[in-house]
Amino acid sequence: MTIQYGFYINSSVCSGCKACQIACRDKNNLEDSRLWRKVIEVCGGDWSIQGDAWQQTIFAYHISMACNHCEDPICVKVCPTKSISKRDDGIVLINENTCVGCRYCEWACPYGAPRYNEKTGTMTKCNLCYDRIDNDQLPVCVSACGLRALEFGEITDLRSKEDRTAVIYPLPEAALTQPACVIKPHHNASRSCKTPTEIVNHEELK
Amino acid sequence: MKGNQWPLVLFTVLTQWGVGLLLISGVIRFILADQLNDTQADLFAGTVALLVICLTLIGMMTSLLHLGSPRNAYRAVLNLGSSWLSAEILLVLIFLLAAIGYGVSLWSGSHLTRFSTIVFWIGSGLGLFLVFVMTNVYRLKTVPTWNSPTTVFSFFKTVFLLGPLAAIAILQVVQCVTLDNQLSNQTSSLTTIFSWVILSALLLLVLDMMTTLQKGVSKKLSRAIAETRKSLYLRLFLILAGLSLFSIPLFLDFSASASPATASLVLGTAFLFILISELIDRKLFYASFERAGL
Repeated sequence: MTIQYGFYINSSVCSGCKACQIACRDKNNLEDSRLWRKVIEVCGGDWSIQGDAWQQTIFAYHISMACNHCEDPICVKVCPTKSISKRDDGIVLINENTCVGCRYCEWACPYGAPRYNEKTGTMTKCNLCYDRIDNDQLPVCVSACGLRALEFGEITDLRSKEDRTAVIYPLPEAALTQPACVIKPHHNASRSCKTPTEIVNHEELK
Repeated sequence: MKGNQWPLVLFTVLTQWGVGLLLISGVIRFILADQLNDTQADLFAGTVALLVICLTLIGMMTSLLHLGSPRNAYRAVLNLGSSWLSAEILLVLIFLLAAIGYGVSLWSGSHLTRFSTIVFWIGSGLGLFLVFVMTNVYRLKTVPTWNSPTTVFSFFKTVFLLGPLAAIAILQVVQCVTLDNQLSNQTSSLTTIFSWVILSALLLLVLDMMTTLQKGVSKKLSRAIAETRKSLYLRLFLILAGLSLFSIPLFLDFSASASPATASLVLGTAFLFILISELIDRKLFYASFERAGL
């Protein structure tokens, strides 16, 4: 592998408008139950009474998440039919013609990226718009982001900038699969480990 | 966890039952070598072989039901280098071939031969390795609720619970069918085996319940258990009822007093109770799925 493409997610400016999600859905003709890119809404904090006044520590932030085209992709390892492969540019692709539809990759991926297509009986997932990349265009989610909260590029370049991480609540430890994504955390993200925090759009993410 | 998990529940439980049955039938035959005549030994081993073949075949067929594209099922053994799932599928196929080989060697000769004994031990070894591989299919580092020794315990518990209980039930029915003048010796040995198997089953189930309670630290499993509390109570009832029925031959001499049909009915019902309890337990295992992360 010569290069590794990846995403940069600037959670500090993401407003949760879901333009990226809609653009991806539109380009790939996805059903609501099979979104490749999803915007996670995280809320936390609490109310407390101090003297005669109520104080609140409520906060919220958004993370736009799709397949992270991991450097150590567990989906490629566990797929029994060798239908998932990694290109030379790091893009992880599923060959739907050979996929058996066992959903083992869906179990194993800590980001829940592979999505089952009920119509074809095969797994599908974000292909990083390789057709657009091969024509020197940006992935459609990146193009659609009005706040420039999403960027695309070579992961070493994206990682070289400051204030970047790959771990933020509720994402898993990066050591599990070495995701090719970097995140600029929302300034409230650090509070997620101190106060009760949860994903609030579970139904949407199913 | 999305999708219908019943095909996988059936596949894992039936295959593990088959492995346990094959293995324990050999142990029982070894223990009763001096007391079983050729007819009894052949009938017992032949019935076991037929049942193991049927269980593995049914398990394999049901596992296909969970695939979205069964037409590509033949490709599932292509990633032996890194996918435990590929290894599992290949080993199930080899185990089935070993069981068929064992069955054919039994049915083609008049009684147990050295060849059938060798095939038997190869099949049993392969079976145990298959169950080990099955545990690794589920021990994914990204699924903490499955990646624990309790998964290994749960799968081998099924092997050593269903296998011995099915084996003694078959043996009891065989004894009723082929009653002869060695009756007193056989009955006392069989009673001893029944006692040991039921005691072991009880011990396994107590340990199983303890590990289930221990897993309560997982928030997701607690939720799953709370949602399926009725299933847990049902499971407890089935275990108690099943083991009580299995204990009847300890107090009533089935070989002397019961017809093969009665023995089959009582022990078959007892086994069915335990089998349903294991299916419920495996369903709860799948319900405990929780990924690290999203």
